[in-house]
Amino acid sequence: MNIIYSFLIGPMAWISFSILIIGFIIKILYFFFLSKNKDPEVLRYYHIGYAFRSIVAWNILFLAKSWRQNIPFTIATILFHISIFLIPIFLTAHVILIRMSWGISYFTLSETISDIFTVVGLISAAYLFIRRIIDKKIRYISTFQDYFLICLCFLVLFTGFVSYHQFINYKFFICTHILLSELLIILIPITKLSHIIFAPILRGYIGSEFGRIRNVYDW
Amino acid sequence: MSMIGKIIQLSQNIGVSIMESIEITDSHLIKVSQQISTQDIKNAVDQVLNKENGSRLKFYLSSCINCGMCFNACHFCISHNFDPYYSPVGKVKNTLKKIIKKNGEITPIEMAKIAEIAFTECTLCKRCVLYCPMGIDTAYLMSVVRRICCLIGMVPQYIQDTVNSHAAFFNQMWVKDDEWVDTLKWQEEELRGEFPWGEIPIDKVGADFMYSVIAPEPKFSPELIYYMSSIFNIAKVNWTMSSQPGWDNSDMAMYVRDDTISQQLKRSHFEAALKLKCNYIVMCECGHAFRSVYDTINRQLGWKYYPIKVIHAVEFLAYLLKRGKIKIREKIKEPVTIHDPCNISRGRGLHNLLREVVSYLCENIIEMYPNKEHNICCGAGGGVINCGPIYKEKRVKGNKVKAEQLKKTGAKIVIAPCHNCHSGLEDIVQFYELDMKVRFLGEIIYNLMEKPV
Ligand code: SF4
Ligand code: SF4
Repeated sequence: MNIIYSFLIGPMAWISFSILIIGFIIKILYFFFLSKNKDPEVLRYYHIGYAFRSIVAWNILFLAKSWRQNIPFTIATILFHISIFLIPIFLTAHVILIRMSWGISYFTLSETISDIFTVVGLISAAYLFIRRIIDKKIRYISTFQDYFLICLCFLVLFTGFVSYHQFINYKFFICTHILLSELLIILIPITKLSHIIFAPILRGYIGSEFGRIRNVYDW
Repeated sequence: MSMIGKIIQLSQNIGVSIMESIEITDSHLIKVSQQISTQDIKNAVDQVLNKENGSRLKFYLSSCINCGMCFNACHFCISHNFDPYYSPVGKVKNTLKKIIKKNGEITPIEMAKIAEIAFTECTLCKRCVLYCPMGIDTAYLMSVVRRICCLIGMVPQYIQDTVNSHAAFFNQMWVKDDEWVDTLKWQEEELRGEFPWGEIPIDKVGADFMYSVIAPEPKFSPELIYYMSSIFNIAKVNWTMSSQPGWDNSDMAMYVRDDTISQQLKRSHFEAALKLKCNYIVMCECGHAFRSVYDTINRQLGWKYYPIKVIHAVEFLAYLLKRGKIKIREKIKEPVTIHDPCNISRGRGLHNLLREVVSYLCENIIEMYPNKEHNICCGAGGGVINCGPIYKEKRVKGNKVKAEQLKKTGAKIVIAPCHNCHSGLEDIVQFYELDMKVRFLGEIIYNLMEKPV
């Protein structure tokens, strides 16, 4: 177990983060050159101001009409995204790990707040997953990736929660937690999770097109 | 995991059953499917997906998270009680994603179904863009599917006929050059009956405005030319019309994605104006033509700026009314509602100007919500109405939501400054038995303005 643990936390972490970063660099370059060669209007119409306007508007809670028309989903997805962003970066244990390897240290979340966010993340992930199963309409459009990725996020949060509180079999859970997290990190650039980067890029393009040429708001 | 497997199986089964239950209505598409092979389709798919299209196609497809927020956007989906088959993401699933999943190995009959979805179940209104958090432009994806269909000739017959007409005569309705000039002369004669000093200048060099129309006007409703020429004459502006190919600004080739033809059309349209050395092109009350000139084909032609400024009839009429060049005798008292055509509201942001124009003409304006850039499409745009009468029922039933919207206003007149919207709304009014008249701005202004004799 100890060997696995040190492998996961050492070389494997390096591997997964390298895949994440290199994957994103390749994908962004691919997007850029593909646009340049075959879709020149993407770069020609891109306008930082309008792109920014659109991204900000879509990030203001319930400003876009679409958010207002799907209230339960909106609340779930926003809570889910907040927790899945905050926990990996600001959880005390993670910050300690980062300090140990890179010597950087910063603000951490207190234990109660982390717990609250984790539970909220778990509930909202469960909601998003169950919605895909129960709601016929969403089931019709769902693919394997959709089910799989949301399950993976849930499991990462869950194993992390269990191992942090050391309820049972700490070693097993912490190893699973690290393994799944690294799997998640590797999957980010090659699956739909790449929307972490590409949602703002595409939203920015549409924002520019609507702002610049069509003269209307795109939310 | 096995549960997930089952669920996926189930969802795919639902997908198949829904797909299978949709019959192909168009015998022409079936006929085409008998003439082509899977290899032809594969070649076309390869050409379009790998050679012609780039980043938007790839990244739209890979970024859709299947969240289902676009269900609320599409009038087809809303009208069918949120049936996922009609949702924007469902359409992509049943067309492009299917093609990509099978690596282009689509049988001709499957392709016929795909063509029917792309041509008759999406009006390319781009409303879904406003509802997708990822900014995915389903209309763009559907036009990519149409491009594949165009390359293999899998295009509904009626709309293909208009494209053939574009190719042969540079207008949408097989109007011959002399017939066009004849129509103008005839309208001028009529005009002189009312205003003895009136004229329709043809090919006048150096005019300020060149007025261009779409071919259905001379073909079916020359009175629209009459109304607009009266307005031009009474406002005493320096204007002209062209007799050259390019007098017609319509562009069905854009919706079939026969790009070569649309590019020729738009070039000839601009060239007609350049030859007359005019300062502005004023376009008739048509949405798709404006989209083609203003937004779509100019991109393909690679122009950064237009050689000549293009203004839509709404902008032009607003200019005349604001400057007092035409004066309104009395306003309409009946309740009136405004339909925002997608191509000039969501496509150009002219909705506020349109309201200004209407406020000069009507006393009692009742808004129809959602409106402005969030307006619901008339259901006839994107070439859907041009796919012919066999699709009429599908089109009208697929836009029940518009009928409900119209009914809620209780208005007696609905103003729609777009030809497609006009015909689409008329069908809706008739089918759902609404007590309403659909009107163009030109017609209303003609009837209400002060006419010096
Ligand atoms: S709203 Fe956008 S991301 Fe969501 S399912 Fe529709 S197209 Fe996909
Ligand atoms: S473009 Fe319009 S008709 Fe087509 S899928 Fe989007 S909302 Fe529906």
